[in-house]
Amino acid sequence: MKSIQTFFCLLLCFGMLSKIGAAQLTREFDPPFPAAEFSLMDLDEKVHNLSDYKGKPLIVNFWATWCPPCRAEMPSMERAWQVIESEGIAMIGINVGEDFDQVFGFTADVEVSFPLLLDMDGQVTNTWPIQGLPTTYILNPDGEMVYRMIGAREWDDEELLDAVRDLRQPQK
Amino acid sequence: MIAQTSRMKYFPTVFCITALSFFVLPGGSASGATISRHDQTASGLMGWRVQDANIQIELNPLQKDQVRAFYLGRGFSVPLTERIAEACVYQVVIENISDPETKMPLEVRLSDWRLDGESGPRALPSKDEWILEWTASGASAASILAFKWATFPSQQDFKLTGDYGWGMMLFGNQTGETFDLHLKWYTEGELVEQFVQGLSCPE
Repeated sequence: MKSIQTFFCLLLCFGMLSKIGAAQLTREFDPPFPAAEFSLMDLDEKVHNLSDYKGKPLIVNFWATWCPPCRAEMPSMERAWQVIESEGIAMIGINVGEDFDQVFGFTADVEVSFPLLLDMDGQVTNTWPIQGLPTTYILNPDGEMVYRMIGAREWDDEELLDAVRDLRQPQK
Repeated sequence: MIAQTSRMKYFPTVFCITALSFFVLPGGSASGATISRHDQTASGLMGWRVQDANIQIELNPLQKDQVRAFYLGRGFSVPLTERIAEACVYQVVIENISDPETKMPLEVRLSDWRLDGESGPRALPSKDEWILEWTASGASAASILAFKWATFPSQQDFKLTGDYGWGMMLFGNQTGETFDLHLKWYTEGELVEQFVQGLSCPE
């Protein structure tokens, strides 16, 4: 049965990878829309609140291990994280509905060094305006949604990252 | 007099075409989309691709074993998994492929879609209806949450070029049954329609 599951995942991933190179334009909420506060635990059992990230742009990716396009975009998110971590930009992944073991198992296959939070009971997915997976929001330093992307993207695309960089508050 | 007779002669035809258009195109316009078949290499099943200048819709039937593997892996019981596998499951992918300069926003509401199979025309079973059944059957909260997010959203907008959604769709037909789909979506608020004929439920 394990091999069938792997086969199924590969099948779905095969179909999704062709989508990744699609146009990467972003959508702007105008005016920016306040994101609902949350409090979720990561794989190290550390609690993260949305308010912890105020003061810097934040990329929030909703995903699941069984979601083929989510898996497909994760390596490019990690590559982007390696670039933006030192630039005053934050990134988190919020897993939808899975437990520690399932997400931890995923990280054995795919290297992810930004925080992966667990929304096991749908606390956040029920309050944020999410229609499907993956969905990614980009918040400004005030914790407001500015951009939303539905479906996977190549996150290390410089044009896309420049849009995030532009959200940083000017140095005083 | 001759002109009047001529107009009367064509009146029934014009009337019928006009009347028919109200039934066939209720408020929308035909998409002018192309419909093609494509080989889903790994599954060995042929899928359908509907494409116009702004949207691409892929309708890909899934093998029952693929469906069983996925839902057993999400914690569904064997009987419930079998119920899903027998429900004619497709993977559906919808993408906004409009010109990035014009950014034509799309919206899809599955409650608008109609299915015409052996039991006649009907609406698609909704995600909420399936979830009610799983809940009544004692499926775990985690399983139901996975079903909710793995099933194509009941309503989704794709405002940007490159936005795309994917998910499974349970048509609820019998194994081996063939059926037609009446697809509807909104392009910049305008209703667009397309028929896809001869879809089939995997044996």
